[in-house]
Amino acid sequence: MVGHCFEMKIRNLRVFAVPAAILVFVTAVIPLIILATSVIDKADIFSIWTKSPVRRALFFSLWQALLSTAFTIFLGLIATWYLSRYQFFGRRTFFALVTVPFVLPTVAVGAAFIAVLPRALHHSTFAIVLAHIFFNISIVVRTVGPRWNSVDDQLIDSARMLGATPFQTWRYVIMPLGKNAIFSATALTFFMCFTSYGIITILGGPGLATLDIEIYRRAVQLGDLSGATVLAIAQMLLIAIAFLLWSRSRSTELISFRAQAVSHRRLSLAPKCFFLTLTAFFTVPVLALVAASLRTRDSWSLTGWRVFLGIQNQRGFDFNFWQAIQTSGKYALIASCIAVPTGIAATYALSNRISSHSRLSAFAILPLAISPVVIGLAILITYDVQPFDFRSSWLLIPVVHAAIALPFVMRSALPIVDGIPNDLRSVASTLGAGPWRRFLTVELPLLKPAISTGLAFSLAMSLGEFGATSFLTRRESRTIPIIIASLFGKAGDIPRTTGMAASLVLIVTTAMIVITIDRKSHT
Amino acid sequence: MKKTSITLSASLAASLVFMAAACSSESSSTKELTLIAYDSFALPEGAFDVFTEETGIKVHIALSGDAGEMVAKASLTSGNPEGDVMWGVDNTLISRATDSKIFASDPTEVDYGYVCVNFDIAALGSAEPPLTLDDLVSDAYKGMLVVESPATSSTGLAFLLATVAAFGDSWPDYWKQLVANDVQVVDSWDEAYYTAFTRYGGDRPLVVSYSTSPPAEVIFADPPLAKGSPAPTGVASETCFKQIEYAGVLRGTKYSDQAQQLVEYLAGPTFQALLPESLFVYPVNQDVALPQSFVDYAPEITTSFSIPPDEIAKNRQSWTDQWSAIVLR
Amino acid sequence: MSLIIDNISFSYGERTILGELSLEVPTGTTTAVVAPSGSGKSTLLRIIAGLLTPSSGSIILDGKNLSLVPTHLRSIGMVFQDNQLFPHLNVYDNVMFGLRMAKTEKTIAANRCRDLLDLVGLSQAAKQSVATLSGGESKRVALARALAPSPKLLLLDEPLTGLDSELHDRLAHDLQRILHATSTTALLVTHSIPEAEIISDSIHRLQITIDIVPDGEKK
Repeated sequence: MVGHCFEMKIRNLRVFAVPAAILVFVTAVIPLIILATSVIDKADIFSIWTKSPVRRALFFSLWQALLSTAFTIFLGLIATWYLSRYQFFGRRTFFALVTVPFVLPTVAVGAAFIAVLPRALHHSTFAIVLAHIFFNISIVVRTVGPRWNSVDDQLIDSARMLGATPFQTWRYVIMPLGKNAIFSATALTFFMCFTSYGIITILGGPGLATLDIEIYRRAVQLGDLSGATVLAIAQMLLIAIAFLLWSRSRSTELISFRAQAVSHRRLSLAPKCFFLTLTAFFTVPVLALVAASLRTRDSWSLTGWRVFLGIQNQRGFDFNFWQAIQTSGKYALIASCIAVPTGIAATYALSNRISSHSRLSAFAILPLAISPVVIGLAILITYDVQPFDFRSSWLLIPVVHAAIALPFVMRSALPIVDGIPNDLRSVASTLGAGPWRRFLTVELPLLKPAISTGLAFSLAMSLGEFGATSFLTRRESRTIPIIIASLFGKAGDIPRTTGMAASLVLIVTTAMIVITIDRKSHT
Repeated sequence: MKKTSITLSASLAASLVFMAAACSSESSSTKELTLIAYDSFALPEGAFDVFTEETGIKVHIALSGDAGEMVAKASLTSGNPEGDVMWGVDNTLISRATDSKIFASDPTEVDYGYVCVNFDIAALGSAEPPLTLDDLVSDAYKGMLVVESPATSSTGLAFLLATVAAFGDSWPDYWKQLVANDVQVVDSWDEAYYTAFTRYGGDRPLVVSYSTSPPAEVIFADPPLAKGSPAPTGVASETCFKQIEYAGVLRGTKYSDQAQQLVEYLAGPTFQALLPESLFVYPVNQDVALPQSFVDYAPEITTSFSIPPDEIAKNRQSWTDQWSAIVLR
Repeated sequence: MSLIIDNISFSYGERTILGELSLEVPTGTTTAVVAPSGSGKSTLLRIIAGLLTPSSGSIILDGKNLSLVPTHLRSIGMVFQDNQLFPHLNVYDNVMFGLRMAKTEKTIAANRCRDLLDLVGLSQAAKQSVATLSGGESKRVALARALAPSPKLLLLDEPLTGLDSELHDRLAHDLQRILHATSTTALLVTHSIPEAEIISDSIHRLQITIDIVPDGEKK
């Protein structure tokens, strides 16, 4: 009888994953299929790889992704070890510093790096790798941190008592225990670096083009849609497969870090220096941005800020920032309203079945894995007839934002949903609660942390999204990242300082949202 | 229990679909036209008020990326366009646009501008500013010029086209000389202007920009320049390539008459008068007086280079590839 | 391989957890320290193990002062209250761990491992995952693991606490047998006098106030 009920429950729970699947189908899969069948010239499927710009782009994509991933993982693991196991002054702040950048807008961060780096390095692999570390260390901390945090101190003590030197302890106990999480962090970091678009656009340069940039060039400048689509699909398949293979384990989540029972050991000098350097790494670009927003060529000025806040009217400017803030905010809220329930429902449905969940996660990553240009074009030719004429609806953009945030909502929800014991549901049943009441009174409160983190991710990603947003036609006022990009396209002190001011505000707002929601989910 | 969840999921999906579809049907009233333009199409408030008063039609602006993206999307959706009128296809893209038949009829010229080498007066000091393309390869200007890559920047492309027009088949030699003269290449205009140009802290006093950049420098100077002082930058007036922008009715629009009216408005004096100080281009309409800032600070360009649009379309890629091979070794 | 605890005291902030404790464990015998929970028993073990530094006093093992010797070089084994088996290793590899760290030659290590598993009665379970072990089985694996590298001293932290009573008695006798069979010098802490009486050769009562009162010998 119990077995029968359990079976029924599993069968009907899976239905909750349907909205997530629909979202991905609607925004990525169907459009891509239609685009592929309309524009691909079969000859291109093979011949595209013979073109040297394509090969150069592929090689550079791989090279910079590998380099970035290696450094990110290395530095990230060091930081994660101390963050997850030691108590020290400023730990909370540092944690925020390290984990927030992941969702910061690429346009604004690019501006910050330009502001801080010397000219010679503005367009270099060095700058790109630096920026990638800045964004992606968060992945390591959030994925490996919880795993290492849960390693009992006494387990480490056991190893020591069995004669293991600190190095041996690290090698034979700590690393193996974190193995799955480390693999997942590596996979996700590599994926983010490989498909990095905003950063490469800003910090890349002649000769520093990734596959995404090459896809853009083909589609937009050369008019070679067929070639561009072939490349995009190839990239997408590669990413999805790699992702699927590597994300099998459960510890693939980016979750709020509940740092429990952290040891009271103090940090020695070397880790302290490391953290100081890392703190500088994370704060200096932002400070440079502050300076850049206030500084014209040889003097200090508040004009940039005044124009941004609408206090000073500027001839020749028609950027209404308050409207842009409203639009950005509206899109972010709608995107979250779609992404969060959809993602949590999907995780909820599949948390008991690891392979299904990892397949759906890999599937959900598709909108991110496909170049924004190609998605934009694909949507254009797919939704152009009634009753599916979505492309003329302003809702399209928030929906695309939701699709982009979905995989992160799902991943962050998994460990929390996992942690809800099945027995709790059974207990509630025996106490007379029907399915809905069970859900509302027992499970929903326990899902709160998942909802918070998912919300933080979707809001932040929507606010900062640039690639897809700029490519899709916008019928309403500009979003803030679009304005920032437009400002940097105008000559003069004022557009420049205003652009810097806008970037700074966007960064701080996004950071505040994430930190506040993260904090709240800890109580 | 099973039924509830299925019903719920199905209705969630269905509502998303219908919500979006419903929103889209709003915009099909004849009282509104959609004008597609590039992202930097920033006009003062009320730019279309006169049009609305005269015709009763509201103009809704849809921003579509940069000019290249805009045309790429329009080509793809040719015959079933996203809007009614398109603004901002320039002469480097017009061939592609007409080939894909995105316009219902021949598009109208609406504005023009010049891509020229700008120089920082203060940084040059007592040295003579350059005037012609040939000047740029002389020793006097060694290591001073920054250009944008034609593969990634429309400004860069325009400059390349200038050299092709100026030197014909031997344009590659010119570029070899530029390379020997230590030219710097960057990806985009804002990289060149805001980072490499000496005016903003860079080390290159010569940059490929627009002939309307000097008035922009004055208008947007902070702190404002003293009245009567000259513009801080100047233009090498014989290095210019003429860029022309077009607007036209999109093929497949349901409101071609109204769309035509809008295009006429865009070329008319009321609208054209707004162009100089918002888009920093010259109005095509001769009846429009230029604003004072242009009169005072924008140099008059009497000679400029140009290439027929279909020639550009045919050769653009091979010229760019050739350029890359020479310059980006 | 006798252990001498010489005037150890430990304070944490203003609280004195251990005050001037002295104790001796003769070679090859098992001594039990009995005291109620919370009286600093675990702290004592951690100090002996080198996981904590005492505020004063010293530990002398086999005539050697351990004050400056780091934990992994002390050759002291420990069975933790909750066993702390390595979750990523199976039973066999858990028991092998200390031998691997000491880079013991492969055949010698394998033999030792096998012998210990036999001794604790778990030779069948060698390839099992530690997650599938019962409470009693885990305890025995923990014991085998601690004994494998032939430590000079074995520490046991409340070894039978939490096990159900039938298991309790059986395991207590097993422990006593194994410790004697291996001639291990051992120190165990517990709050249960009966438990101490079965397993150990001598008992010391640890009181919250300073001195310990040496009590009777085992019957």
